This record gives sequence, C-alpha cells and structure tokens, in this order.
Amino acid sequence: MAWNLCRRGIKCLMLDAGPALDLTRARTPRKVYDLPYRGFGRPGRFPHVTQADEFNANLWLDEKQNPYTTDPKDPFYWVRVRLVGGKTLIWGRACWRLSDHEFAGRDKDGFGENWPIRYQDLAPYYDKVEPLFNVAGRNEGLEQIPDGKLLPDTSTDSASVTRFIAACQAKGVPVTKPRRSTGALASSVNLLLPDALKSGNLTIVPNAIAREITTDKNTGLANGVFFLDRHSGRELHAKARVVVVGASCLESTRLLLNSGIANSSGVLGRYLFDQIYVKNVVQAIVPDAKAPFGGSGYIPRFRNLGKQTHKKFLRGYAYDFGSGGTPNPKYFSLYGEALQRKLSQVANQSFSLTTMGEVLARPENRVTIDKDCKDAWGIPSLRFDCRYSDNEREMAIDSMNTADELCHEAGFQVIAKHSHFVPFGESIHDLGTCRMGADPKTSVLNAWNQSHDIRNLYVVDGSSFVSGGAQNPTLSILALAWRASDHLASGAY
Amino acid sequence: MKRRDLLKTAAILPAIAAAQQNAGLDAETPDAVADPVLRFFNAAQFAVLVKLSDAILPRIGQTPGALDARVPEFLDFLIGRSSAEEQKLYRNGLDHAFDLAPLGEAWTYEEPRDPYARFLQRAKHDVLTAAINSREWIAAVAKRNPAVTGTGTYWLPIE
Repeated sequence: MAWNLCRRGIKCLMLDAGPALDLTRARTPRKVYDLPYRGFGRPGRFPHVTQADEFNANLWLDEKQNPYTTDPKDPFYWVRVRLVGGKTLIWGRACWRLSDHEFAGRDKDGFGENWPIRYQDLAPYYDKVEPLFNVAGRNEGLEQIPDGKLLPDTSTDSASVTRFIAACQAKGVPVTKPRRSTGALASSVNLLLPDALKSGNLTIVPNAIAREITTDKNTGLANGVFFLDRHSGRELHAKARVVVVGASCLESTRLLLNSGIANSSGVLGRYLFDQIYVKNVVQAIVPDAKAPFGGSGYIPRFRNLGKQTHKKFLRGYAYDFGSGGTPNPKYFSLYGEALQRKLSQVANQSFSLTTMGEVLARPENRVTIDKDCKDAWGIPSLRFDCRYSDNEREMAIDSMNTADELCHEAGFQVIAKHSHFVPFGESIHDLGTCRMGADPKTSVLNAWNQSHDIRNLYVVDGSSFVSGGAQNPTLSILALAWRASDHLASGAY
Repeated sequence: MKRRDLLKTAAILPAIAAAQQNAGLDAETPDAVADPVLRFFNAAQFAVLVKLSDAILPRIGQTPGALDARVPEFLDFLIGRSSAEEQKLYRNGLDHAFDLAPLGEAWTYEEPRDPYARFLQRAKHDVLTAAINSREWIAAVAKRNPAVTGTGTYWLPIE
C-alpha cells in the first residue's frame, strides 16, 4: 500500500509496532547443539506458536506480553510477528490466485455472501503483483487457480512425483507445480520498502504500537492515531488525512474495535475464518523410489466446482504434496537398532500430502474486546469465540480418503493417515473479521477496502476477505492492497 | 570407546565454532570440560532413563547412541524446566515397571490414552531429537554425509 502511494507522490507515515531490523545483523548461523535447549526451545515459551523453534523463537510475538482469551474448549492459536516487514519475513510464499469460485461463491452453492468484486476486477492487480514478487510456477489453464504472470518453472519431476501425477490423471484430479515467490528474501523489507523510502515520500516509525484511531467530531472522518512507544510506553498522537490499517487481520480488527469506529453494521469482528490444515493427512512410502529423489506439487480444489457433487460438504480443499527424505520415526512401531535399520531402508522414500481446506465464514465465529485482558502496554486484547463445523470435519475426512486412494493408485504404501486438522488459527491464515461487501448493513468495507462508515479509512489485510477458498491468501492481500491504493491515490475517496 | 575419546576424535570443531562466536578469542564449551549436574530425577528414575535411552537409540557401529550424546543428562535438565504435566508424565513413566512393548503399537494421530504408553512415545521422540541434535551425532553423521552440519539461522533476541 505505502509502496504504491509513495511512488505516486503521496506522503506516507508508516507506524510499525515492532523494530526495523538489519537482517544481516539480526540473524547469525548457529549450531543446534550450541543452543541452550539443544533445539527443543525453552519449554512453555510458545504454547500456541507451533511454528516457533529454538532458531527462530525470538522472531515471534511474546504471548505473555500479548495475551488473549478463548473458551478453553475451543482454542485459537493467534500467531503474530511484530517487525517491520511483518509476516512477509517468514511466509510460506505459495502464490495462488482466487477465482470466481470464491468471489461469487454464493451464486454457486447459496452459502454466505459474494464478494463485491469479481475475478476480472482483481486480475490486473494479480498481473502486477506476481512479477514484483518473482512468482514462479506453471500456467495450466485451471479455472480454479487462474493462470498468472509467472516466471517459468521448467524443472522436471522426480520419478516418485511422475508416478503420483499419473495416478492423479487416472482419477481425474488436477495437479500442477508449486507456485511460489522466489528469491533469497521475498519480503516487503527488500521488495517494497527500499523503493518507497527512495521516493522520499515514506517515513517509517518503528516500535509504534497503535492504540486508537481518532476521528473528527464534526465530520466523523478519521484524523489520526494514538500510539505508544514500545520501549517506554510514552503516548503520542499522529495526525493524518487518510488512515490505512494493515496490521494483520486480527490486529487491525482489534484496533478498530478498540477505537469504537467503522462498525455501524455490527459485523466487525464477525465471520472469522481461516483454512483447515491436515498436516501429513497421508504419509506413504514409495517402495522402489528411484533417484533423482525429492520434488513436490499442488492439487488445487477439485470438489464441487461445476455443481454440488459432494453430499456431505460445501466448497473444497487443496493439497500440497512432497516426496523424498525419510518419514518421521514416530510412524514406525520400532525402536533401537530395528528402527534405525528401517529408517535406512526407507531413506528418500517418503511421500506425504497436507490438506488445506476452505473454512466457511460464519457470523458466530468472532472476536470481541476483552477489557479484562490487556497487553503489556495496557491495550485491551481480543477474546475468541470460534469453532469448526461438520463441513470442515467432513471435508477433512474426504481429503484423507482421497489422498489414500491416490497413493494406492500410484502404488505407494500408505503407512499412516488421519483427518485431524490443526487448531483454529494455526495456519496463520486468519481472515474475514472486517469484510468487504456491497451492503453497508452486512459488511464493514466497500469494494475498495474502504470503510462504509468513514470514507478516509482503508483496511488492507486479510480481514477484508469475504471467503478464502483453499489458496494461501498473501498474493490476494497484496493485489487487493494495490487496487485499494490506486483508488485512494486517484482521490476517489 | 568412551564418550570423551569420541569427542576428541570427533574433531576440534567445537573450539573453532566457539572462537568464531567470541570475537577471535579462543573459548571452550562447558560440556567439553565439565559434567552436567543432575537435579531433577531421583537415582532410580535416572537409572531407568539411562536404560530406556540406550534401548531407543543404542550406539550402532561408529554412530553414537543416546548415551554417547549424554541424552539422559540433557533430559534431566529439559524435563526439570518443563511443565508440571510433562514432569509428572516422565516421573510416573520412569517409576513404572520397565516394559517397551507399548512402543510396538501402531501409530495413531491421537496420543495413547494409557499414560505409560504416552510416556514411551514422548520419550522416543525426545531421546531421538536430543541425540540427533547433539554434537556427537552430527560430527559422526557429517563424516558420511557432509550435508549434515547442524547449522541453522538463529534470530538474535530483539531489544
């Protein structure tokens, strides 16, 4: 957002809750055995950040300083990074476009709401974001993951992957190469912010924790933000002609809720969804795997595309799959020398899939402000009330059975399968709590990521999504932000 | 071969690595010059932990086992810093009659209901992880496979 505004000559002040690290000095090579806990990490430091290991532990937001509340029966894993560059420093880099199966999902199956835009509205921005983020992949003409402006992926497939692709084709299941942002670092820190600073129009203030957006009593327009210095707690107020919030889905929602604005619809904080992840839904071995080993791929959504073909659930799921390496020792009911012999036998033979499934956006899945739960700076935090439904459970079961069939078709030996998805939030694809819509009564933002209530307020992160499919959301967040910033820069607000 | 001898043959790597982290001053890691002090498990529990660690990962040929990697000593430290629930699982598991049969049960996503079976699964994971992350294991495996270095990118604490 700031990158596009600055290059169009607009002065931007960027407040970031975390520090601006010099990445050449912030990271250093270490041996795992020289770490205090031999790679295990300090016990209990991150009860909800499964991505945290002892190497990257200092990257994640401290949960004790930044608490939140949930129903103990329905945990939510709120995973945050507070650094300039944010989660683009560690994202998975998968870049799939959304399609009208998402933008017009209600038209197809009657569930939920349509987006106020269609694929053709966002396509020109996907076209611009993909080259900027050096996205590589293969265009295959699949309507559910529209083709893009991609760097060509001409790599050949390993023997195991070739076998699996043949099995997918035999079963009528689409399959393609991964589509990823490439480069040593694929972050706003190297791809966006340096150019924005060179324009002379960007001012970055790190360690500035936004507490409340202020509005003009007469006009009702946003006119600035109160923020706290992260180190001292000193409070300041910055004035602004336009306020753009992009603090991540749930932090943006928290800021708006704490500010008491942009919620005439009453839906701010509602419709929280993410994507179900069934990690290693099927773990197989390729008994006669041949070199070269390795390789991976992607199966886009194939359920309920043309019409509702599956009786037990709406929408669908995708898979990531990977081959090579050695399966985790936990899958073998062995120990001692027998286990080590087995692991040697199956070296390079691992083949596994992970399910990523659409979660339906429901109003009852929501966040609210918990006034009794404050962070270390005294800012009220969120309470989560959200749970998955039978739709997600049935989808996970179908994904397990289908992956099992595909592996058997390929002649792989399935050694473990399950349909347990990770807790709500763990995918770090939280979406929907500040959603777009054509009707101000049922949505927070209009088709330009602009508040229905306050026209000089924009929200440009995943909170604006109406539905999310199974695609990793970052590419769409970037495209939407670019589109919103063009709207803002044109003076149309 | 005793562990100390193995360390000597394992290389002078530790001193070099340590020196790189200490502004050019040569330095040594504490484990190369001193023994861990046991603080958490009682003597009987520790003796079972030694037996269990050796059973899960014995030394095989020139590849170090859990005892070479001082896994029981490390787990005494790690579990001593862990949650009360984790500590109870380990203490009760080590007090239980020694029986590795539950390790032969097929994998399921959900942990076994029986606390002793659950303890054994946890111990299998912890012993293997502590061993393969050890200096001894990495030095030995690196001789066969230079791609194994044990090196990762560490994020320094943020001020």
